[in-house]
Amino acid sequence: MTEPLLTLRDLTKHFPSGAGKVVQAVDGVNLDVYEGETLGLVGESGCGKSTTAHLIVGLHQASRGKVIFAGEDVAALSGRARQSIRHQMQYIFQDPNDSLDPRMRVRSIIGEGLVARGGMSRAERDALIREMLEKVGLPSDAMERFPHEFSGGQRQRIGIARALVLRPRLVVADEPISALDVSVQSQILNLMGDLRRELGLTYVFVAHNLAAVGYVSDRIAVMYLGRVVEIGETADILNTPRHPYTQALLSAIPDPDIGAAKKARIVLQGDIPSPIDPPSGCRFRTRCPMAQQICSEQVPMLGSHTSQDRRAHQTACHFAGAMSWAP
Amino acid sequence: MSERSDTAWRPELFPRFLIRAFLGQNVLIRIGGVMLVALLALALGGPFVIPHGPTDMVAMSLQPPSAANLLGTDLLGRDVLARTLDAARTSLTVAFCAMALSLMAGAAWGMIAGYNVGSVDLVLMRVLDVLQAFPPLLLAVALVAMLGTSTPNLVFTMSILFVPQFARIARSATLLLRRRQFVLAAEVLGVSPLRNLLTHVLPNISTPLIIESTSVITAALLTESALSFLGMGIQPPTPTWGGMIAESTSVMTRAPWLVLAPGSAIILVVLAFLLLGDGLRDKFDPKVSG
Repeated sequence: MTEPLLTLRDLTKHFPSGAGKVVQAVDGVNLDVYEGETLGLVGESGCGKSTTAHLIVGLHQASRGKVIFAGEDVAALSGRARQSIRHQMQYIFQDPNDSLDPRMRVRSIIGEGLVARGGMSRAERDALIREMLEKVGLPSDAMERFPHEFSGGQRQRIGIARALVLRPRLVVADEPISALDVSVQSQILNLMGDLRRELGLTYVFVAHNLAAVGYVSDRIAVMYLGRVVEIGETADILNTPRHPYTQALLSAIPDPDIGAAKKARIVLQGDIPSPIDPPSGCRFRTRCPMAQQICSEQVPMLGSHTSQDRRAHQTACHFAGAMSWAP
Repeated sequence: MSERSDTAWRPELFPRFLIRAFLGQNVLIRIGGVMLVALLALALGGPFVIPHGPTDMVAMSLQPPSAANLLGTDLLGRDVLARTLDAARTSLTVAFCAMALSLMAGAAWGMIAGYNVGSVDLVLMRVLDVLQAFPPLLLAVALVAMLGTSTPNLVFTMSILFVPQFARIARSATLLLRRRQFVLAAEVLGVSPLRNLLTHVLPNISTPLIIESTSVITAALLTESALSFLGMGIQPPTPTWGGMIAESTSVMTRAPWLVLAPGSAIILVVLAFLLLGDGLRDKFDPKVSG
């Protein structure tokens, strides 16, 4: 079995929050991402998915646990080795209105990583930038223009070009379409898919929109309050979800077919609890329709009932699959 | 060189920004700008028109304004107009140099503090608190007394005085930018913190700093006048506005023009800078202009 490209082991991020309290933004996340696949990371606001994405590329330092990229513990590296690994992991930001410096020309924006990496003449950089612009579907005269001269979708294309011009192996996309008009969302998703096939990329795709994640992902990990509660192949997650939270999420997707029979809707009670003082045991138990005594006493571990395969469908629930629900 | 050349030239920075500001509809900017240009023209061109030098003794002492000496003469019979205009160059140069030095130091100080939230920020800002705990003029007098009276020392002292103002503005603006995605993006791209500060943070905090520099140059002008008045600024016979007032206090009732000329010059220049600063703030600070 091939080794994963990216492995997160017990990855934890606690932010200090005054009066000695900590916000447990991410708590013991274990994930494997394999070369060439797209892993979708979904969950509601505040579940820690963006923090996880930041931890992967080093925008935050982990409180505990490891980020292992291509067999190397990223935190243990320093100097040039770390720079080199950083250039192999790139990030696509959520809001293209905020992620491009308004005072820079597109040439400088896309070329910034190349300049930082060094070792290239200006002409070589320009050639790469021009090639990248073409790949993301922008005219080459875009190089001399400023970000405000482009539409939202075009700006996100610039953001994608900036990440990919370094030819990374892993791209972490943090809600890359949620700030865009619905009409251009699918264009950007398709572009990202095309570029993945063309350049052999691996994606970690963070989103709160299950429909979009289902469209692009090979596998999906569902997060709740800083933990992964369920992970598996996209088809398994969408068709036979076993965790009650995943089932609730799926039941909330509106059905575009008006004529179809109204599906059962699982409506969760209450709000997501505070990550400063999360529930004991299973973090979902306060809103779970099937919570029992054991749920407050024991933390359910991610596991599969049928397989030892690390890529198998796994659920962190004491009663995984006990409640049947099908979309 | 080629490393810098693709980011160094940004046409939307200063020149066009200033030209647009001048031609804009803002009345304060226009009045302040016109006053400033006129005063600068007087300061630079005046000495060529006036037939007397600032230290020439041209007539009897304490002569009232006349055709030969438009603003009269002082205690030593020197032409007050010539001295006032010559002092403008000295005073404005000193004030501008002090402002520029403290702008550079303060911007660097504030950006480093704002970028490294945590212990670095804490230490840097506490140092500024200590600096600001002293009354500014007292601190200036103490520093000049320690360093000795000379023009470079005067500029250096005044520039230290105004570092905290610039540093605080730079820090708060940097704190906001630190959360912006394009600054994070540069970090992911492997851009070094120093380069990130210079290419992304500095250009985007320049507007509030430029606005602040108009009020700092005003304060520097007044501080220089005050120090010269106290005899700790620029030494005679070089004329400065504060020094001219100091020389004339004993004969103020007999020859009021000696005090009125440099005093009005200070007021006019300060007013011009304040109007310009207020106008720029109205135009560029969304918190004020709404």
